[in-house]
Amino acid sequence: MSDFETISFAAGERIFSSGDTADQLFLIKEGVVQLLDAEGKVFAQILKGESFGEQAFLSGGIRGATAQALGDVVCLRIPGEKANALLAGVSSLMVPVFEALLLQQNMYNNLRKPDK
Amino acid sequence: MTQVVASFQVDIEHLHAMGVSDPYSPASMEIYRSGKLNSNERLYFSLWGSKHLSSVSFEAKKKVLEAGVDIASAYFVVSGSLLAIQGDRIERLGPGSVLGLAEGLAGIPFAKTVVTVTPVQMRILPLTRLDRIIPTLPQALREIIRTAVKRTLGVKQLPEGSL
Repeated sequence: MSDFETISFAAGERIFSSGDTADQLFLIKEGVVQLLDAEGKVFAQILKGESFGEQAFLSGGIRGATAQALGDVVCLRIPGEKANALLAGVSSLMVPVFEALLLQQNMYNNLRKPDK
Repeated sequence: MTQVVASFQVDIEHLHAMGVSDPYSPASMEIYRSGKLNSNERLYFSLWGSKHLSSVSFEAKKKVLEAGVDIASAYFVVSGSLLAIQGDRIERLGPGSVLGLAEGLAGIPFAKTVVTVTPVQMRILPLTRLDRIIPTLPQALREIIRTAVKRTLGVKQLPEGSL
């Protein structure tokens, strides 16, 4: 993973915003990142060793959440085209698997909210 | 009284209204590439047309998954309506729903019983094939899958030995 750029964010810094083009994803090396919904409410905390911004796997995808550094954060930044190159180098079955996993994640996020 | 407390579906009527009538035609592909579809619609469109997934149909009022049973295959719902039942909680699921993938990857049983309400068309995600592929993936991809599975299931840790 050493061929990915290391990037730092200060406490409170916004990493991306809901509605932005999803063109990169991140792996956290140090720190904690919060994901906020459209109302600015924190719905997930991403810890060291975990990833966020996986929608970059979808060319032209749009961010559905805002990501913000809780404290000082260090990440590996993986551009969308590199993420897709990683996927292209493995079994072709992994593309629909990633897509289905993202969709299931969106589904469960939705189901955890009560029907209006 | 037991009632539906949550629901999920991709709005395929909206897709049809935009002119997406199938996943392969040039007109549909043009709309897909136009950036006019939201994330879930894009995922639905891509999975709908995936050549790597086989198809299966269920009649109305059939059991698709049973709570507590290990999962051999996960499913992506193309069309139709289902209910997912866990105790007193009932969820209504429609097109775009994904059943059992994160659970299967994590090696845990599915927590809900899922039954069809109408005839349902699905695509199959073969978990036994994934068991062979995932150990060979680059570390970055495996970390991304692990995180996505944990976030989907709402857990901090996965069972020992999974993924």
